[in-house]
Amino acid sequence: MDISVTSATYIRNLSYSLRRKLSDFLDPQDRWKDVIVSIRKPGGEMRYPQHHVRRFEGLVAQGRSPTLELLNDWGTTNSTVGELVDILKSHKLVAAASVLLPVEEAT
Amino acid sequence: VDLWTIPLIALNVTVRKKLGLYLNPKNTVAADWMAVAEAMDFTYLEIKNYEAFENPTKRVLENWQAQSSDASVGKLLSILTEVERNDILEDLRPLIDEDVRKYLENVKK
Repeated sequence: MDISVTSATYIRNLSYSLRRKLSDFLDPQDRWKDVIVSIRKPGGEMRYPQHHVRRFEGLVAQGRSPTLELLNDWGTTNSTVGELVDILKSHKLVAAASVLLPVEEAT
Repeated sequence: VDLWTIPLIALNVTVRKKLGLYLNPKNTVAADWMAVAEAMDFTYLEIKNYEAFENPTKRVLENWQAQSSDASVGKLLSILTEVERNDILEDLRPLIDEDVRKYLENVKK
C-alpha cells in the first residue's frame, strides 16, 4: 500500500504505481526538467548539469520515461519524498506533490 | 574489527545477491556495476565482456576476489563510498557486518 509514504520515505522505496503516477504528471511538457535542474548536492551544486539532462532527453527518444529514470537515478542517494515534494511545490506542480503526500501536507 | 583485513570471501550469497539487486540495473548518471568494476581496476574490455552476463555484479565480485590481492570488505565499502552509492551502504551495512562476524567466528575454530 502507498498509505505509509511520509516526507521521510526514501525515493528509492517508492512503489512502482506511485512512480508511474508521478511520470504521468511530469513526463508531459518536459515538466521533469523543472525538477531535475532543481536537484542539488549536499554542497549546493547542481546534481545534474546540462550534459546529464541531455542524457535523460535521449531516453525520451527511446520511448522511455525520463521521470522514471530520474527517480531511479536520484534514488541511489538517500533522497527523500520530502525533498522531492519541496521541489515540486517550488514549481507549483501541486498535483504531482499531492500524489506523494496528502493535499493538506503538500500545500 | 579492521574491515580492510577481512577478505571478500567473508560475504555470503545473500549479501552478494542484494548487491546485484542494487548494482545490476544501469543508471543514466548514478554509479552502477560498471562504475564499481572500473573502481576495482577492471579494464574497459573486461567490463564490456561482463555485460553479457545476467548478473554482472556477481561475476565482478567473484573475479575481483580471485584476481586482486586488495579485495577486502573494507575496500568494497570504500569503493561504494567513492562512487556515492549511499543507498547500498545504508541498506546492506548490517548484513555485511553480520557476515563479517560469522566469518571471524569460523576463523577462530
